[in-house]
Amino acid sequence: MSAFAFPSIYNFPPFFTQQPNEATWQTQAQLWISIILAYCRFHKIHRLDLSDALTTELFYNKSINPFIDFLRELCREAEARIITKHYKDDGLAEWDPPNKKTSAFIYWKKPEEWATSISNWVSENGLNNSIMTLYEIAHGEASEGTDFYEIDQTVLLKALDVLVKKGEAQTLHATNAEEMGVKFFGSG
Amino acid sequence: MCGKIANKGFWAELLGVGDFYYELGIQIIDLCLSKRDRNGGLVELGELKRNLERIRGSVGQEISEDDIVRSIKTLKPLGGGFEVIQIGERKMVRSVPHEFSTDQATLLELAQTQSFITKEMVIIEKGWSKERADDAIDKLLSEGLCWVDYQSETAEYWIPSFFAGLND
Repeated sequence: MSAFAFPSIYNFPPFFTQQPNEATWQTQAQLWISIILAYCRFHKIHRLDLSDALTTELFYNKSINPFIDFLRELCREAEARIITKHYKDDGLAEWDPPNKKTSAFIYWKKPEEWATSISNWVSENGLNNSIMTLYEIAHGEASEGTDFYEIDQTVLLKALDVLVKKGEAQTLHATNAEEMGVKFFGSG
Repeated sequence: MCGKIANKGFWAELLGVGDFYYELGIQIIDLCLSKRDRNGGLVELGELKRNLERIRGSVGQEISEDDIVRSIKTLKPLGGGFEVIQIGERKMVRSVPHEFSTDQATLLELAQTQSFITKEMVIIEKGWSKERADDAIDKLLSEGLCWVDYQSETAEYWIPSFFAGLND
């Protein structure tokens, strides 16, 4: 796979230290948030675990200790901007589990947008009225090449939930989640 | 941005410049303002030229550093503090209205070789007291002209406008 192209600010050493100047910090946090979203989109990462991320190139840093403090602040800022509803980017991430803040779903597409992608894919492939398992949608041959191929299961469920609420699909429960089925209602 | 609201002929006439310098001036303002939160309103002339060439594309007329300097001079009547200043060997474009103090200018000059300074460097090379170094560095930080890096043993104060390769 080709490498993710980081913007030039990523090579600027102080980019990994929280800046004491508030205006600079606001700019810095916004730049970081854009990088995280672009990185996850590029590598199709749906769920970002912070302790794992520390050792990947996204956050790799030569001196870890001061960096942990920085990361904590960045999470706090990211939380204010993309999880709670104060900024234009709200809804782009969600802690999982909500009370533990060690990993997060990164929605480079929001569940509503995934729902639209899936719905379009269903009609384009004549899958209306058929029943598919969650596994087939996320890992099946039919979805290869779509951007929801290999989608995280929880994210997929959230997307399907949107379709269920709109009356476009019905979920059929099974003993384990991957075998859970979905019936897509045809429009024609 | 300004190009859409301003009447081209009017401004060109007011500033006494042709369309070429008018257009270049607008591009300089846009570029400098968009990077101000990152570099505190200080950018190297050569870097500004490269960025201008990128946004103008291959179809635009060629520009020289002299054209940029001339264009910035014509912006003066608009206020906003655009000015070309010399820091050590480098020509820099400043887009904030306040002048640098002598101490700030000294620090910026000292930072030229490595793009950063440490307090120790300032104290040893300039013979300043610790308080004086603290004050001057704090001022650079509060004006957004430098960024601090705590990853090394001693804090390093980096000047983004000297750091080669910050180009997007």
